Amino acid sequence: MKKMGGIKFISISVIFFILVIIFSVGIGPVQIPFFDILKELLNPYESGPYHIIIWELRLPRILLASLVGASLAVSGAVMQGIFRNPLSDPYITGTASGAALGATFAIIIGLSALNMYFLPLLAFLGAAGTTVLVAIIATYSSGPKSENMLLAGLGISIFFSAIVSYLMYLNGKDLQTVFYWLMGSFSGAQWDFVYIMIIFAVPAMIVLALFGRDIDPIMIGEEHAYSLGIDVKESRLMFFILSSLITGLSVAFSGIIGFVGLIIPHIVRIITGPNNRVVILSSIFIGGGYMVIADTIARSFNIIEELPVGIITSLIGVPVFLYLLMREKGYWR
Amino acid sequence: MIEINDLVFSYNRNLILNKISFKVEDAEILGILGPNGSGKTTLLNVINGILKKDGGEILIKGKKIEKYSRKELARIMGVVPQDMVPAFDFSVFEIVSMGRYPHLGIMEPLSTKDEKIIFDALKKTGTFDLKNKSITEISGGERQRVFIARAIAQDPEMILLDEPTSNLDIRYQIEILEIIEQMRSRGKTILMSMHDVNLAIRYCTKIALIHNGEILAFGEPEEVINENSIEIAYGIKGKIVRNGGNKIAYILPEKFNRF
Repeated sequence: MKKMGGIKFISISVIFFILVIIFSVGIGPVQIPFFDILKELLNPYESGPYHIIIWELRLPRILLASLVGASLAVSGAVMQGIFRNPLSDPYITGTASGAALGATFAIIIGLSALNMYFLPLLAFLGAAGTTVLVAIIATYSSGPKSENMLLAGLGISIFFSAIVSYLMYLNGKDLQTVFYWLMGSFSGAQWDFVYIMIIFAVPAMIVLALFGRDIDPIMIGEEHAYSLGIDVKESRLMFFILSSLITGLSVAFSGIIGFVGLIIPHIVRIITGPNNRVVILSSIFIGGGYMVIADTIARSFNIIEELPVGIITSLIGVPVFLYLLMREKGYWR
Repeated sequence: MIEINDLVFSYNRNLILNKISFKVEDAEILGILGPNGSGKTTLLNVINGILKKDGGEILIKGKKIEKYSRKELARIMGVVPQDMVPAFDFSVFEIVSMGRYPHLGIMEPLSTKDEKIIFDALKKTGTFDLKNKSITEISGGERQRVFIARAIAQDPEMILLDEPTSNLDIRYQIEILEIIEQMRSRGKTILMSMHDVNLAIRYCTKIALIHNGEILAFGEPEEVINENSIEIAYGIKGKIVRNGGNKIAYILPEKFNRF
């Protein structure tokens, strides 16, 4: 398959992203015609017939889904690059299990029922704590740092998952709440969550995209990167911290959603090649748009109860990915 | 010019390099020879600053290596590491264009001048026709030339190569060494580790023979390679064969006759 030029594919991704956002606003129990959506979106201060549905219900959820999808896809692309490991995803260094532990605590001790900000706060603290822990373990262990980071992350993930399972086992009454959170959902979306993502995650993604070029030589090998003037240790740590930050925020607001962070970067690379600046920029819009599609299906599939969005992301995404993989010869050595 | 004085490097309390000293002038090819595990790759990695030395000094163009920033060093020293297939399928053009990264700012895209330098490097190494191919689908010899092209595109004054001819058939070995000789004729200083003593005799202007992390002999091939030094370094007996002009031509190892 011939690779598509970077600028061309980024432009296509942006158009895809914008169209997905606009169309998904119209989909739901109340269907809103396309021109009414545009009219509402262009006049945010006039209260038209669909004002509350669009501005209070659908838009915060759609924007949160798009920001989370973008963050996970970017984080996955960066993790795969800096660890030179195609199987890496945003959760590989234990962020998700740390967040899960925090969220489970919040649910079981009843904090999440007191205030809607407690659960995301504890989940984020769990994710951030795990990131710091992994970085410390990797720094003070001997041998190659990147492998140690992956192994430390894996070890901590398993350890925290065991604690979460134990807590769930002890607290049967909260089982469903915890389980539902673990599968990921945007049903609790708030404008405040959207603002926090815009303030922290968007700048982080811009920095990752700007410095993305440094990941190219790291992906070939550390000696290569050093000899091209990149301080591998320093820049890997910077990439690791920023992508853990956006992963932690995403997990805090939406739970653990699989597939997007692992596969979207691969789909983008199959189309454009591994040039990281292009991969990161396209992943923002493809990941964001894809998450909005999956969430739109999740919230409209069943009127009585929503499907967890993580199920949809994998059910639709994996066949698409496998199809592209079969068409592409020599994508992976 | 590279000058090394009393260089010491140890890893996990094992002394790998012990008081290495030598000096390489501009436009020379230094071949670093020695048995497996003698410290050739380590020496190259210490010289290009990937590994931090434990003692001694390294002077690059008369200035201590630690005075250079990573990026400054990358503008005067190119490196071609040991061959391996990258896991991600960058195109040959993308790989060679990475040689321009040390010269670019964060936001700065490749200029037409950069592109000209890249195309030039591709042509010099005979890889121009491969430019759109993936690095994962070309042969070992082609891959080695692509990484040399990247070092050329980096436009450094010195190039370090770690076993550039290993795993290559004899034709590719000669091709690579001819490219390296061409670079020297354009004024580049070359340091390369090698296994093939005979090719080193033919192409290097200086040879450093390393044994157990120490310099056993340093100088022109004529001065360094003899029956005695080869026996100490590699533990084999060899016969020096001279050509018509009575210059050293190659060394013919004797069989062990153990069986």
